[in-house]
Amino acid sequence: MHFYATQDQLAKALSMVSRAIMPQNNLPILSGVQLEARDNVLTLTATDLFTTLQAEIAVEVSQPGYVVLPATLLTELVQRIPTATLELETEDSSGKTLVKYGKNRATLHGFGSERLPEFQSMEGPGDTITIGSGIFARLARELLFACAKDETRPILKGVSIKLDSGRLVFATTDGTRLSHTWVAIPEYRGEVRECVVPAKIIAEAARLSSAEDAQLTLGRNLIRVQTGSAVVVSRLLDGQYPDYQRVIPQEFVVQGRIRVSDFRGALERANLIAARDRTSSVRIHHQVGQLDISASAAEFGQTHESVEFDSHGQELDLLFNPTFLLDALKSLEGEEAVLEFSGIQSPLRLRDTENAQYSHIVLPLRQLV
Amino acid sequence: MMSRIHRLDPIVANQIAAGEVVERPSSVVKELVENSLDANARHVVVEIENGGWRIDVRDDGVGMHPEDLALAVDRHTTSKLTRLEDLESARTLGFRGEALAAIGSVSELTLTSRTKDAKVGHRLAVRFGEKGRVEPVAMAFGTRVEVSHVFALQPARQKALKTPAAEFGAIQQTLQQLAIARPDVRFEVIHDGRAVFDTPGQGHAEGVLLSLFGRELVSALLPVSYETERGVRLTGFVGPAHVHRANRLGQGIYVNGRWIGNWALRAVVEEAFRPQLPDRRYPYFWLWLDMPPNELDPNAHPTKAEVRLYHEQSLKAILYRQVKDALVQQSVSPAWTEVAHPDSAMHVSHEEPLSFAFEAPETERASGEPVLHRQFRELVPLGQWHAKYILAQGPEGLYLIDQHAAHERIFFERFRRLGADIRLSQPLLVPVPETLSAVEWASYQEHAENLRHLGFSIDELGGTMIAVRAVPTAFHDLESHQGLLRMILELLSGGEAAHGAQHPVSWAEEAHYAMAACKAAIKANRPMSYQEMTALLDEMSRTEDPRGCPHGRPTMIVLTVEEVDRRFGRRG
Repeated sequence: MHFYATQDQLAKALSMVSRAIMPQNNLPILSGVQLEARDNVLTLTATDLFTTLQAEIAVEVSQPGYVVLPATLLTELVQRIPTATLELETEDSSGKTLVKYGKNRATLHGFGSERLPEFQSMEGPGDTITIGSGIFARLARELLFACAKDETRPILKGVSIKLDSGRLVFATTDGTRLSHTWVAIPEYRGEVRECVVPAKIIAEAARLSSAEDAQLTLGRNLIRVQTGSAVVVSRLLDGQYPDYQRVIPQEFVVQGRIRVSDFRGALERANLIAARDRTSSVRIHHQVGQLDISASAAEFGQTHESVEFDSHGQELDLLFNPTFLLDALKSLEGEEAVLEFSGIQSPLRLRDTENAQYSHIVLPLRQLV
Repeated sequence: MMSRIHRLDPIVANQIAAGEVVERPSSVVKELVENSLDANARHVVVEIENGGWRIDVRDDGVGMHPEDLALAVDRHTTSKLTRLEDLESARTLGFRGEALAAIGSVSELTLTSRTKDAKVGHRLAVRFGEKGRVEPVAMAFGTRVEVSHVFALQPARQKALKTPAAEFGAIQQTLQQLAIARPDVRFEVIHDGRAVFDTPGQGHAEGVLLSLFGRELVSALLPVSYETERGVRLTGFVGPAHVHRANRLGQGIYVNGRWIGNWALRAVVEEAFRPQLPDRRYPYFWLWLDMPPNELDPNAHPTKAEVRLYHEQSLKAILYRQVKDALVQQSVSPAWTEVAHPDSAMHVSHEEPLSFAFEAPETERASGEPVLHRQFRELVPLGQWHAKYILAQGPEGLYLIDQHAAHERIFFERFRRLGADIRLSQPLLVPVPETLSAVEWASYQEHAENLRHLGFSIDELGGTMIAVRAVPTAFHDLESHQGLLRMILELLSGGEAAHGAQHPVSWAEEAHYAMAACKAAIKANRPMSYQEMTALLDEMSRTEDPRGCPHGRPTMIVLTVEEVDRRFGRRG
């Protein structure tokens, strides 16, 4: 294999696909990136056998072929190459690869003539939907923080996807809070399908080019997102996602609009105190027109702030985990948020005034007597 | 051709089987005295000659009818049990029906007995398994068993015996345990014509311990008493932690009146002493556990020294916490009465014991924790050593205090107090179903109320299925609040978490507080001023358990004047 590539294109493609690689691998080849040169196109692939990332860049191929090289080493080397173009040449089946840049050169020891293990191929109907540019970035912001972090219920580490006629619905929950959002897909008229995908594919899809539309394909076993020449493919998660529809409140006792920056500022200050207390909770008191936010820690002090809240409904006194509220506020885009309380023991819904599709639900804490 | 396999002569078979029950003279004594106890004896006299060459056990129990005498020395004959189910509720020490047969097959045994309503007693002699005839004999009520020439026909066994003194040591230990286990029975023990001990038999354990261990120890003992909802009652005494010995002869755990050699229970009690106990020294304790007979299986071992306890983990937790509480609550009264020289604390005069006054500001702090351990207020810091240890002088001698461990203990208790104040529960959007294992289910059942108090809300779905509806927030540093229940149940069933009276929920959180305390506490290699050292000692006096840091290391070492004197060759 022998090709000429531009340094910045190759460096970008390498760092993009390398994200699929896990830091530790018992199968050594999984720490490598596969380069395949053919028809003046270089295809770069990396995988952890659960998610595969692939990118294509234009190169000048003088001899087609392939090689698997240690991904981190190659990426870091290419990033540090000072010349605008470089040349890669694999001499024989030993995998020894010569990287030439200007007058200088480096030799990397590849994985011989080995290839990356075969990834699963797409099965089933494979409906393909077009997702507008920039939407995956929004989805990642709205969904990923609410995924479970621990392994006790692996299914909650994923993102629930429901393909409905006209709507693609996403949800994530870690058991105490829920993010729920959707994307309009007017052209889809197929059957209703539900599946759970790894959070990683949403995160990676959001990192792909934001200038172009993405093509999302949902098979029986895989999900695939393609933007331009970059592709990310993941296996679906096995298991039943909890029925989250039931927990979304339908009736509210308090509804109102609040300035996100005011609310967030008050919460951040309250959290300084709350985080030092064992309970780490903030008290939120509503009376029409204002929200009082207070926190106290026996050894450190108290905070008490009032924030203007354009509201109607009854008086309420609730305890919340401030981190959950702050996470939710950070996921909003607009300057104003809609807060809807459904009672003392029932969830609070936060919505974005700019984006009606998204809503977040968080449960208040309960004080034990 | 003659067949090679033949049935063993019953006498030989019995002699072989006897090895299970009768290993050495002390096991003969144990079996005989247990028989006496099972016969409702109030007074047992044991005479031993030459380390067990001759054993004579007399009691004032119910006695035996002459026709029973011959049966009693057969194998599998007993009056204590008729059906297997009786074993469940057996309160008697024996029940296997093997002891007399076993002893009779390896020695010369003479059994004499007279019941209350009989005019005369009867005697039966057995020589190495061969029964003699039952003959009438004049005697008092009760039963007398004389055993001699033990193992005379088994040279291998006899060679394995130790010196008569060592064998008597083992016999004495056995008898002590039996006597302590049954304070209501008078034990008279005579060795080679010399009275070894004589317990009062009036039902008070202190009386027995007094006759065995002397007044000095018994007056220092700390009582332990506790009763669970399941009907398990714990009573007994532990020695103060600074009194200890080089062997385990000052210990005993008695379950339903039977001494047991359960090392797991013993280890957990010793663990409670650990922060104060030097290496390879053993504490004094005698603990009685009374529990319904169906909570244990005494038939796990021929000599019944091993008893299978069905709720051993929770027993361990109870023992640990109760013993620890007893040790912690003992307040060492200041034995320091010298007249004060206010400014002499910082220099050491020779010959005379150092006198000082500790001008402690008696004002309680705003948070007002009461002073629980006065001896810390008596300590006067002399200086800091290696920026690691505080040297202080106090009533018992020179104190070396590990500044990190001490500070850690103070923080640990403060965090635990704060944590117990307010409890919040985080409800879950979707209840988490869990199928518990049998072990987890058992500890869930036992601690359901504690778990609720901790902040769990749990629905039982039938079988061992539950749904977790809310979890405590107290563990907010833990990522995995969903696995929390399992983790806590595991801790509980593992017996590591000692659940006690004072801190009903802290067992689950203690590890967490300990870590926070370790981070917050001052470290080694930090110089301290005199004020800081005084403040630290003052705070130590307000902790509940100042003996060790939450990880179990001791907070201090005491060097007594006697010890220093001895090292300098001043005395002894």
